[in-house]
Amino acid sequence: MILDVEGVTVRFGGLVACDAATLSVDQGQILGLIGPNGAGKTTLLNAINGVYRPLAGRVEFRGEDITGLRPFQVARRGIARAHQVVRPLSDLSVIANVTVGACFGRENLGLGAARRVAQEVIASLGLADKSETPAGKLNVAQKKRLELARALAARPMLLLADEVLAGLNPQEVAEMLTVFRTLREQGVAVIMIEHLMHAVMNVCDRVVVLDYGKKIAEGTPQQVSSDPKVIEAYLGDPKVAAKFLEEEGA
Amino acid sequence: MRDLRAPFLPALLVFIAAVAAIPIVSNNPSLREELFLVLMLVTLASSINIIMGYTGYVSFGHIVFFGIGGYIAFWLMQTFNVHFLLAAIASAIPAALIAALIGIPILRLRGAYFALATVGINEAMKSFMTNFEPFGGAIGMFFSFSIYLQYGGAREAAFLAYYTMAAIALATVATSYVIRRSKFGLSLMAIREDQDVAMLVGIDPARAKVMAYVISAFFPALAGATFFFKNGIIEPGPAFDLLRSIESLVMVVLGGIGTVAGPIVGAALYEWLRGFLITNPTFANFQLAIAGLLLLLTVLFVTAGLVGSLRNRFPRLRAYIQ
Repeated sequence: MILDVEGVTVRFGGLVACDAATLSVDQGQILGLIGPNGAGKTTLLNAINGVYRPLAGRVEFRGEDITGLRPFQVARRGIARAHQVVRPLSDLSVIANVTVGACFGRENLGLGAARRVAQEVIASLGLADKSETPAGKLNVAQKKRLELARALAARPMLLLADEVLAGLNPQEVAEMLTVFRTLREQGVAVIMIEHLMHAVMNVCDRVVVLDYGKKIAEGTPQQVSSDPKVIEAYLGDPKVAAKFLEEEGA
Repeated sequence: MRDLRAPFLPALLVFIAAVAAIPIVSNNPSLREELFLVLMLVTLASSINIIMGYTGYVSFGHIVFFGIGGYIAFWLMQTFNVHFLLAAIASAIPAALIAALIGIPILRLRGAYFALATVGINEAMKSFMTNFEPFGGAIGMFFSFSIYLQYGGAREAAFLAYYTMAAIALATVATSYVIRRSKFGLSLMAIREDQDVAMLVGIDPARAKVMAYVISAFFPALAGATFFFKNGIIEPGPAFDLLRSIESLVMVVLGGIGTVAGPIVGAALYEWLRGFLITNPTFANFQLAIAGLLLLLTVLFVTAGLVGSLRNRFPRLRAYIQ
């Protein structure tokens, strides 16, 4: 396993955002992380890449204990992050944004080499014609792609993708899914938080379901989606949920 | 960051050097005095631009390093008769160290809190010097005329100071350019745009910021050493003059924050305007009010400053003007 998360607990005051969460992901594997709003999905990613220091538990990346390292130290070991709320470096051009990703990540490239990598990544995500545009002037879909481009330019071994599909139209979603499949072929591990269920069903090899910070289910997308506990977490009482579903089917 | 590299830096340095040579060639001492001041302001504004324009930390009390450099160098020259050039370098190194020591805690502050902290440090340093007897306390220190003898007299010393200031200004501008085009500069700009993102892509913001602050403190210290060497007297008031600090910020904003040429244009323009206003009987008393108005208009309508808006208006110029 390239990443092992064991019993990670994160607390904010009295709120246990992550309660002994355990998961692992291997090279060339896409792990879906799903759960209702507030289940602690983003918090778990933040605990993995060092934004929050877990109260308990252990994060191991490629056999090395990275628990409690600072975010930039985690990034240099090959873990990249794409945010749910896009955070472009607004005043910098698209190419500069992506070059930043390539420069300081795992490979620690020089400026020239980083720029070439950035150009490749930008082209592969269809942003080539926007390369000199200030990132702040892109539209939402383009910003989403930029966010992913910056993460990919670091040539990560593990990508933490936080709802990168939200707000995209079906055409754009399909394009993004192609990107994820390509990553899988290249042997990159991906953890994706996603609310778009058909996307999860489509690309994820395994799915972990969180609710109130606890892992409530794990398995293939099919197993998880028919798990009564998962249905309850999303819809409430499974019997009521089943009734709803029946009514909808009828 | 562009493949087609325009020879911007050499052209800029040759231009500054050529302007600096005019009073030498034409043997015009009053012009030399004026340009001495402009070169000093170019140094101050370009230095502040490194921490403010590239990194996004508004160092309001940046003049503190000018004062520290001036005081240490002055003390070395007066007490130990150290040669001016040696004293200048010997003063800039402790100033840079002090910047590192101050920077580590205060660069954790963001926005207005950082700006206020730098003002506080400048005022604290001023009070300290006012009460620090080895450096002359409130009266300050002054040279006896004989100090200039080792440089061949006061006139020669003034020339030496002028050449030195020109060299400092050139070095500052060159450093500013190299930083802007380097990976280090890119990390500073990433921090300016979003520090959390910078950290997530692998930049150590604390380290990068302290380095930027140290570099931006080094050159003002050299300038301070040179200014007070020529002045022959140093007092806490003029050494830690907050007004001069604010004026340098105005120059950066006026010329174009975050650009290499902006602080140079801003410094020259501001000083020219001030010279015009101060000698004009109608405006002589309002010159600061007009400077404030200018800042207000720039911030409201030409946010990017002169050089910045030029670059925005004509994207083709981006290759030629940094």
